[in-house]
Amino acid sequence: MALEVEGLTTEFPLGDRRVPIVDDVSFVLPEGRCLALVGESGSGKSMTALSLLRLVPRPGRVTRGSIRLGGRELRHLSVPEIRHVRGHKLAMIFQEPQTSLNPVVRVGEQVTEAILLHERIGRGEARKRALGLFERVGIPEPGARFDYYPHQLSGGLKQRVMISMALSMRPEVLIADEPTTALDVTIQAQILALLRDLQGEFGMSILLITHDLGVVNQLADEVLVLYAGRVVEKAATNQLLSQPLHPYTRGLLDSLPGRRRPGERLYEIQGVVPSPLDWPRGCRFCTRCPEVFEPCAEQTPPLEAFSSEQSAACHARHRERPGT
Amino acid sequence: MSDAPLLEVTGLKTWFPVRRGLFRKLTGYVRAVDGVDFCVERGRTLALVGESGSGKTTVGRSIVRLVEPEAGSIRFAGQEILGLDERALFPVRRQLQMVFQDPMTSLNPRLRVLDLVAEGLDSFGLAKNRSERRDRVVEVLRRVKLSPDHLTRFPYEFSGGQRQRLGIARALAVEPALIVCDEAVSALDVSIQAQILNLLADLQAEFGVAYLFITHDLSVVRHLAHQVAVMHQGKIVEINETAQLFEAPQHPYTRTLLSAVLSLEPRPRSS
Repeated sequence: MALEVEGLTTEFPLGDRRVPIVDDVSFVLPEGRCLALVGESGSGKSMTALSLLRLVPRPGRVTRGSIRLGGRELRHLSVPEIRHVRGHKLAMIFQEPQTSLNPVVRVGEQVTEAILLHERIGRGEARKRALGLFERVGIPEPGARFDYYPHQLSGGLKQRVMISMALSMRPEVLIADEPTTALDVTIQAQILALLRDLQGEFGMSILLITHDLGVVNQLADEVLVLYAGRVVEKAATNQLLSQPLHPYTRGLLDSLPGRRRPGERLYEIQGVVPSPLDWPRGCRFCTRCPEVFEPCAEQTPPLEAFSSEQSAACHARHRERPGT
Repeated sequence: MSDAPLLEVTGLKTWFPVRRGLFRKLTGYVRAVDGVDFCVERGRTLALVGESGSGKTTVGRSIVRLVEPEAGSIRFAGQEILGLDERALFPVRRQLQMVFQDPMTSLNPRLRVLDLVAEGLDSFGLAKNRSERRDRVVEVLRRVKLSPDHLTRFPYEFSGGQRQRLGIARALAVEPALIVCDEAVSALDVSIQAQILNLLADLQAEFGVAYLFITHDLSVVRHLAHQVAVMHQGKIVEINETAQLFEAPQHPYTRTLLSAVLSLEPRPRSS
């Protein structure tokens, strides 16, 4: 089932204004594919995910846009209906698995409970299924680990427990919010490989939320780059990595130490991400942009397609190639 | 100045006692650092890499004596500092500074920038009077690209990147020969991380400060370190010049670590 998001806007009251922390975000995540939302802190990437699940913390709320899963609009579902969608259709895993697991309940029990909550089967059957999932996500000695408490497991194993819980409902879409950020590099590689395998096996789509372009390169087919709540670039992953169009995307890539010769000076994006109260009027990146010119401070650049694989929201791209 | 390395660590062991039961009976030790040897040359950077639990942070904390090592030798500028009591250690501390991962928890929230950055100057009596104290703080702020307007502000008024600049300014103010950086850029957004990495390189070029750079991030290591030591379970399993270590890793664990680095090169995808 494809997930189609159009014009999604999530606003928070700030002072006497309402600020769109997620501002007119649109994308399509086709069945069985992986789309990454990339950005720095404050870009709105996590808030976009929470908006899909209707988990935006108060006093924020989704004010505009549509969220369709397999053609069905989710925005106006009742609370019991959206609960059914969460878990069954859209499941989510988080950066810090320890904060999402109950510390005083054995992990096997937690996964069993999750299954019982959504399915009318006996406890014995649910246990058996949970154990099967533990095995599938690569938890060594699943029978013994079943009776462990979360604190007895390493970070990587806790994330595997979370993944098994998310998979237990065979969701259409798995939302993975910085799934490997808190993990050691060798464990990160294992978890990414696991997600890739499971995606193929279960035919799930993955909405990957991350700040790490290396992680994107491992999993994603397509990337959305977010800056201050807006999509600034949308491209096939290889296209984005080899020929970024937006100055922010270029800056992000050039500031990574892995792409320079050792010791060479890193590119610095000037300044810092502005607070939502100080967002410029036109393009929100214009105060830090090396290519800024007249229209940038005044007019919001629309997201425009420059090829079938790549769109960007940047006035300066027209300056380079008049006529496109 | 002698040819001896700035910092020479041999046979360093830092163990933590494990106590159990009602009477806190000693039942064993966690050998966090278990026999580690390395040197840091003046004006150079040694990276200490490893995963969580490898003991890399404990090495850093042992050197600045935030934890007390069990055995070994730490020679700093030719002087053995391991046996020194706090009084004898005091002048060495000026030369040996530390920058932490989370600048928010390492800056006193109730001090203004002027007093935060001047803390080192005050304890070592490096400023003769108030105006010299202020001038030196302004100068070091300028070096880390913070404006003198910030002097009267509190840490909470700064972004993560600016707070890390403050942490560096505090260390730099007393003109140290070595700064131990413990995951100093790990919590920062990539664009801010690049600013701090460039700053650290500039400061090294200008003042000849050496870094012991503790991190889990191998692309950062490759970028800035002259030498790399790989730690695993309390021991250094491999130590080499950076280029050689990345091109021809000898130890299987180093190879595992290097193979886990995520590439940014476009790769084939199924469609």
